[in-house]
Amino acid sequence: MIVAIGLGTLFLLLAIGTPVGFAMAAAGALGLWLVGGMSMLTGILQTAPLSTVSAYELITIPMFLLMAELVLLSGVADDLFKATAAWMGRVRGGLAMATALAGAGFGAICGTSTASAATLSATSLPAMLRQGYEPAMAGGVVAISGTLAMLIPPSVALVIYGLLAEVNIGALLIGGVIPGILVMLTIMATVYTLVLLDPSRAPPARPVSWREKFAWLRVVGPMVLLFGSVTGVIYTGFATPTEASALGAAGALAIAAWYGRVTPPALLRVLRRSAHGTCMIVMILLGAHIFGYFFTLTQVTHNLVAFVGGLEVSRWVIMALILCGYIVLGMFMDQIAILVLTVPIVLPLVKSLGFDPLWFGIVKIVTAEVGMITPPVGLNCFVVARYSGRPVQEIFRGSLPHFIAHIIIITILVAFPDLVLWLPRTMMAN
Amino acid sequence: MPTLSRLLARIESVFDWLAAAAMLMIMTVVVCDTILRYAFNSPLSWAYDLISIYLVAGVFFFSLAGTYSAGAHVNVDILQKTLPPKAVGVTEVVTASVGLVVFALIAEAGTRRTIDAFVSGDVLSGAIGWPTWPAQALVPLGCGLLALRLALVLVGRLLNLATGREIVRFGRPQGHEGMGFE
Amino acid sequence: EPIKLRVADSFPSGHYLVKLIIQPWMAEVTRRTDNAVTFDHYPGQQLGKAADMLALTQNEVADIGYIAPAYVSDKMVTSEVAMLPGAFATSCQGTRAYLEVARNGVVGTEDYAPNRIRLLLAIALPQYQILTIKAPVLDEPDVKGVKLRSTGGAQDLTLRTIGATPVRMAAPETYEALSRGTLDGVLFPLDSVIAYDVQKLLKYSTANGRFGSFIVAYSIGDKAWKRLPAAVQTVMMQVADEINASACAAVERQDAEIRQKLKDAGIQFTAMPDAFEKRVTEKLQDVAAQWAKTLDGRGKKGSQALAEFSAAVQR
Ligand code: NA
Ligand code: NA
Repeated sequence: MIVAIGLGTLFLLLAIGTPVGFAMAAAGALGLWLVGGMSMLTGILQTAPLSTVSAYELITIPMFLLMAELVLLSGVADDLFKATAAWMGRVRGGLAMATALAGAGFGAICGTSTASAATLSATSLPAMLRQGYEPAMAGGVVAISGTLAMLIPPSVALVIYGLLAEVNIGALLIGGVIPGILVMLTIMATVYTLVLLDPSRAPPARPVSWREKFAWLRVVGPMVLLFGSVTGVIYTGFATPTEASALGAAGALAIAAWYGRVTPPALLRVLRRSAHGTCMIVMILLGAHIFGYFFTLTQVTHNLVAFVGGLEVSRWVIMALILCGYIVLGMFMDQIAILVLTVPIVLPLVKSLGFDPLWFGIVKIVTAEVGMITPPVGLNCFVVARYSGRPVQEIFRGSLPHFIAHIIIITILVAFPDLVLWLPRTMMAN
Repeated sequence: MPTLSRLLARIESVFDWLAAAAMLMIMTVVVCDTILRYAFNSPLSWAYDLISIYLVAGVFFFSLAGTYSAGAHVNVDILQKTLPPKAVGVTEVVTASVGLVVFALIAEAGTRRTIDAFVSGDVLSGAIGWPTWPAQALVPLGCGLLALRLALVLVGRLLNLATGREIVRFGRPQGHEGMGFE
Repeated sequence: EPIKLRVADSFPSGHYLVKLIIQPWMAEVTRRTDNAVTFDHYPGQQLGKAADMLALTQNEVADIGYIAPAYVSDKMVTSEVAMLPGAFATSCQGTRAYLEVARNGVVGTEDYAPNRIRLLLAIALPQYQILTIKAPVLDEPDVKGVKLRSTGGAQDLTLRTIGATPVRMAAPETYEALSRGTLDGVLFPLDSVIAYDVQKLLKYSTANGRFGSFIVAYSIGDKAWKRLPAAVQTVMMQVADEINASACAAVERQDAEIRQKLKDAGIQFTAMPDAFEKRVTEKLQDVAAQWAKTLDGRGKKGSQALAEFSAAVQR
């Protein structure tokens, strides 16, 4: 009964638009009060807030957010798309494929998919529309390419999963590389298929001279610096993921300064925005902690794991149900909130079924990518709509083929876990 | 009340500044620590404690109220978008009330803990005996300011609902240019 | 009428210390009270991090908590006396001495009484050793400037005193840091080497180092204690005393097993040569003296704790 009251309060508050972190904290507080009275409630409220934030590993979140903001400020991303577009040349649908490539490239230097979608909306979307691409297809490919940033390291979402699941964050980030490339290729293949079905969706491009192609290689410098200062240092072991996040932010600051974009007001704006982002995420973590204590004391997680563990069904059926559940949740909810709310409950189950938590994290993030482009809450589609001034329904429509392609890629990752696990293993071995 | 609101906004802006400064310090200290460890084999012995005891907490608690006022605490607003203004007002009253209760309780518990740590002069053992009260003081500071802000919003929303007029103006709750942080 | 108590700790469930200490204690108390007293056990930080256990027990979120003094060094200052380098030789010696000063001595009046908790079970872990990758620790130059992971507190001081460079980092990052040369080694209790799965990366360990220890302790909140019938209190203390006496021996046996496991994993245990060990011991005595002086300076009873604990070790 108490569990039902706590859960009911949570869903009610979420539904009326209470900030996710506040809703979890309030519902959890009510539940704790019902379970153990005022003494227990104050006991938790006295310890949880400070102990949630007193963790060194947590700085990865503000540093990756700061890095993303600084990369946006520097403007390197604009050039990145122009370079990939020049090199894709006159391939049919080349600009859309270049968008996927630029999305992966930008994903390799930026940890948030919304920042990536915003950048691509400002550069690749106008270019495609100018050339006469079907607007829905152009918007869809931008929205989905943006999500690559949460899979390819650096990634705020992966860090949050790593913190929650207590999985080695370095290995987890490296584990996103191969699936990231696979997803990028899938996006390109989807574009190719769409253009094959209806060539009018993508008019041919003008030829680009070799001289121009090589001129665009100037973006390689900052790219290599940033990719090297995060993923490179993690893979080679120069620094821990925590240190790498600060090195990445510093590298992005250096590049923004090099391009002359760092003014005191701009820097303050960037710092404040990333502080607000950090605060938003940590507030959700804190709310989840408070709610989590309530769940623990009522032994919900324990009973759920025991119940599902006792079911006479294949573990693959349960995994399929979990992933479908994530895709449905992703339609309505914020991805960070989903991670924080579900991982503490789902992970013990996943482990008890014998699945690798690192592998599960990557697959979970690929379902999160799907959530970023599904209506009604599909953050990347909103970002693209906002930056391009196109109607959001059009972007959702253009994203549909990528949704289908993503379901296929999730199936492949479930069938062949080594696609995820191989690279982290080589890292740990050397 | 507008005066009070402006005063809170000023404090929020100062706190935002402090959070930004803490961010910049984290970046600088970690980079220096890493480089010193590699180049000179002498990492900064105080970096870990400084960051994990004070700076991360500083980023969070100093920006707590500012993040709320900027509308950057993520929420699920599909239902709200379909509601008439009056119903939105009711939902905001509920949000502000539950938020007020939770953060006031946290601020109150945090105040007692801070005073206790300050009076007994608690320091963590180690080469540098870091005092614990400044970190603990961040809890009532950040949550207290947010509670005040929520109280003000609550009063304003109730006034609007009671009179049926827009006595206190609230914009539609909105995030940073509609962007998330995923 | 039946009594149900919440027990919280931060060990992963199934950890050997849980099996050696709290589980047998709970089982035996339940048995001797004919199921009148039962327990809900919340392992693995389910009710909060290690550093929160004191506050959670004080606030009765948990009735009995794993309150390791090192994690609340701001609130339990004098307990560190048992964790200083060179404080004792064997686990049983350290355990007996700590129980003595925590029940009847200055640690009890300074750390336990004011925090409104009562010590039930305590174990002093075997002394920490230095484990390295490149060379065994046989002389001063072998540790000079060597980057070793430390958990802060007196260990920082210990490492700096012998000329090494203490590096703080989050425990889960230790593996990577070692595998990439970010660290040259660790100052660890030997069981942590296995817990963090770093035995493959390390090559050498000191065999006879006394570089510090750690007190594992379960305490009950005063309020919860006072609510218990006197008969139950007596049973709880009796069982606790029995387990305190037997568990330290089991921990020592466990230590021997762990050493064998580490040897099987290819780690070479080397004893420090006598002359070098003597110099190290002298330097580490300074660490203890300095610790006591710093505490005295802050108005805490550092020297008294050191004197009482040393006397208890001798007994
Ligand atoms: Na990324
Ligand atoms: Na969605």
